[in-house]
Amino acid sequence: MTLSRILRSVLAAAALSTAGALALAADLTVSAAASLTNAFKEIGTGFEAANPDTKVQFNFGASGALLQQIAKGAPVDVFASADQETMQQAEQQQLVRPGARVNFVSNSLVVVVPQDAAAVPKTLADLNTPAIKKVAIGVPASVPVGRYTKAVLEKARLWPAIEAKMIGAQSVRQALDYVARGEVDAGFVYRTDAAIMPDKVKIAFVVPTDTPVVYPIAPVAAGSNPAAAQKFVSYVMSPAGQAVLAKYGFGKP
Amino acid sequence: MEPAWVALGLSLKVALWATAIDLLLGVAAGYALARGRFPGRELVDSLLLLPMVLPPTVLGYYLLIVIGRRGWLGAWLERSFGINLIFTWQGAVIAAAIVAFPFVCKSARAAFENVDMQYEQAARVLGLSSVAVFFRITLPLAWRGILAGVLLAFARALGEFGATLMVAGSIPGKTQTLSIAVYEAVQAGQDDLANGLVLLTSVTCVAVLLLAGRLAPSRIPGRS
Amino acid sequence: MTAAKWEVSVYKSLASGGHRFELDVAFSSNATRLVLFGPSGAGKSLTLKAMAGLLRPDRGRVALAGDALFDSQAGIDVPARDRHLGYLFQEYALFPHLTVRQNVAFGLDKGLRNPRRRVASAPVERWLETLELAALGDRYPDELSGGQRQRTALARTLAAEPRALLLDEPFAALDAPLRVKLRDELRELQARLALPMLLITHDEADIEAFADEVVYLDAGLRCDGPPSTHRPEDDMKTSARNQLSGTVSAVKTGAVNDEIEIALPGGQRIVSVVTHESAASLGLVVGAAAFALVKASSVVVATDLGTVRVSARNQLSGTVSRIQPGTVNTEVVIDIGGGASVAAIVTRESAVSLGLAAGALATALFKASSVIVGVPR
Repeated sequence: MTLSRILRSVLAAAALSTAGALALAADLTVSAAASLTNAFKEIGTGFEAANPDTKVQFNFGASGALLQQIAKGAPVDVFASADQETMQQAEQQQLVRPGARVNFVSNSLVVVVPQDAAAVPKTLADLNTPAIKKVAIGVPASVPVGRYTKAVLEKARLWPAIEAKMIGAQSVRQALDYVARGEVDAGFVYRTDAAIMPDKVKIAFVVPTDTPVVYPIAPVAAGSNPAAAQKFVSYVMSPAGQAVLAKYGFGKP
Repeated sequence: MEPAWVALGLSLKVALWATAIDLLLGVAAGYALARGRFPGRELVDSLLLLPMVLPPTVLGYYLLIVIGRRGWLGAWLERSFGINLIFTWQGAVIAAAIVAFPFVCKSARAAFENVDMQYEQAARVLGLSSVAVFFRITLPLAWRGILAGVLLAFARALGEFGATLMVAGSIPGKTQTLSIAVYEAVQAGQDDLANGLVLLTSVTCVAVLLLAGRLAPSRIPGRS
Repeated sequence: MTAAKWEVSVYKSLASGGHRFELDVAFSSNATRLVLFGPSGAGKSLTLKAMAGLLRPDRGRVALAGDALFDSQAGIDVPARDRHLGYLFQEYALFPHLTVRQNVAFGLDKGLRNPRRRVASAPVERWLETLELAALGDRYPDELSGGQRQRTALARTLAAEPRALLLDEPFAALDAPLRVKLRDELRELQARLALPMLLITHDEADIEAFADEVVYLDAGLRCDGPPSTHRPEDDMKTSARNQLSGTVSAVKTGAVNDEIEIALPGGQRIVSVVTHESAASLGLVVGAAAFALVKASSVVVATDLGTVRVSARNQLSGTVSRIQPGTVNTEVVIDIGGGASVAAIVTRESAVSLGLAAGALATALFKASSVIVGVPR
């Protein structure tokens, strides 16, 4: 008698603990670009408050890496990328619901240096001086900020020279971390990232880009919860969501 | 497949250096733990085995704090010698060496403890110094156990990823080892490249195991 | 006064797993062949290790012919490698990864490298010859028999030209016939080399074969005193092969001496003569536990006494349980019942002419004055 009760309790506990791993009807998984980490966490809290029956799980990383996960079948409901190109690839591979994609914020590319840096470059050309020995740049193959950077540097005909000093980062937040620790002399990140660590990094200058830095968001085609996914996207576009994003320094889409 | 060969060469270089360092330090530590009688010996043993249980990223983080430019050791190195270990293959060697150290240390300790002290005593009475006893008796009788640990350490160093990535980054030709190259290829959706790298890594590991089998002597001299 | 050949006094307190053991041994002797005798666990090995420098006493002194190897008061502690002693381990401790030749050659080069397989060294070959190991030079220890291993261990020890030999139960790991053979060989070798030798054992046969002098050890303790002091209540040094224990059954007080009769379990009795003082100091009264000690060479064996009357007060009859022929003499052991036996040494010819064989009836004869009485501590 007691043994079967114990057994039932154990089974119930096991079921509860795995509940988090299972995608129950009222759960949402959002894969978002690394630069959205702080903003989206706050948006998630707000969304859950407005929709008490839904729990939101976040998965942050470089947009390219997130795309690969979705392509290989990760159970994601919403995908927010830091550049159009990644979302383009997602559409080509039919990973997101056609027509449901929408731009939700914009950002700017900046060069940051450690807060106590002696040499502060003022232009891209300044990066090509001996004082700047290492530059953190997102790996272009998978990190949007790296792609923006490469495009900008290629246009300025500085890419080969700077690439030689490049320290590849797996995400924009890692690039930021390298600068914050002083392991590199400068790094390319988004303005919103620089705002996260004002005590450790400072913006050297803003980098104008030909392609505007505009972030798209879309529900994932194979997601198990299309209704909730669409609700989340709408929430991000709503005044509430936009206010949070603005608070973190993002611009209008 | 150029990048693949470069990554392989780098992986082997880093793993060989890390294993060599671990061989020296691990054997020394193993011997001290096996034969030494000092207070807190088991505590030291646990501390030395810590890298085996700590997640590589945690190790990588600790390393970063210590040998990074702002770390106490890293700052001193930069001030005194102008050396910066972050983003260098030497940094990768250190990360791999720390991660693989417990394998050598643990095997060495067990191997030395298995050497009957009577042999060492007999050698001492016959007139040998402690150093001579170590090289003529203790080490030859323990080396097979140590070798097992060394092989494990090499395999671990070869596959090291987390700590290496944090400390050495992923710089093609300099610190992008095979494991990291695979990771990046997958992130970038370059499946063909990823497959090729994985195949290359597997073949290398099999080759290492076969080579290790060759190294073992054909004759097993008596019981220890 | 010249220094004694062997001067040992060591004290060490050991604790292991909740048990405490105190080693407190002291003896000094001029004997060339000294035997440390005692049951297992008595501390004999520890004493030997202390002498060799493999164990550090808490305090004490170890000196050979006046040369101090350890002296806690003078702060001397010569490391094992510099003591130039030969040590034969009970299990031989032959290096398993080296051949016989390499083992024997081991101590000749104190450098960092082992002797090569093909080591060409005249002294090494000589030792292999002497100990009949020449044909086994390239074998490994795990391919050798017990006797061959013992000889290899001996060759290795001797090749290093020690100034004295310390042997830890050298024959314990061998079976009886081998023991006898190797005992003889070792005796001849030692005589030839004139090497001082200290042998520890719990086998009485070793005493008979080797001892110029015996030191008794039990539970780590040994009493002090140079060999000439006889204090029966605490000093029992004996080379007597026979130690028969029993209870004092009668005491006959005489003018100068007392006659002590000891009853053995099994019913037989032994008569001994001791002085008044000895009887008093040993506390020999009826009912006291006592030993009778008799040298095997003092015992005469008779197979058919018939009506012959002999002056020997002690006549213990029984059956021959064992006959051990040696090169010159034969050892005869007679079981006298009650678990006791008496050993006698007779010449080979006598043993043959008496037709002594296991199972034969025989009587052990010895005079009352040949018996030494001792009491347990």
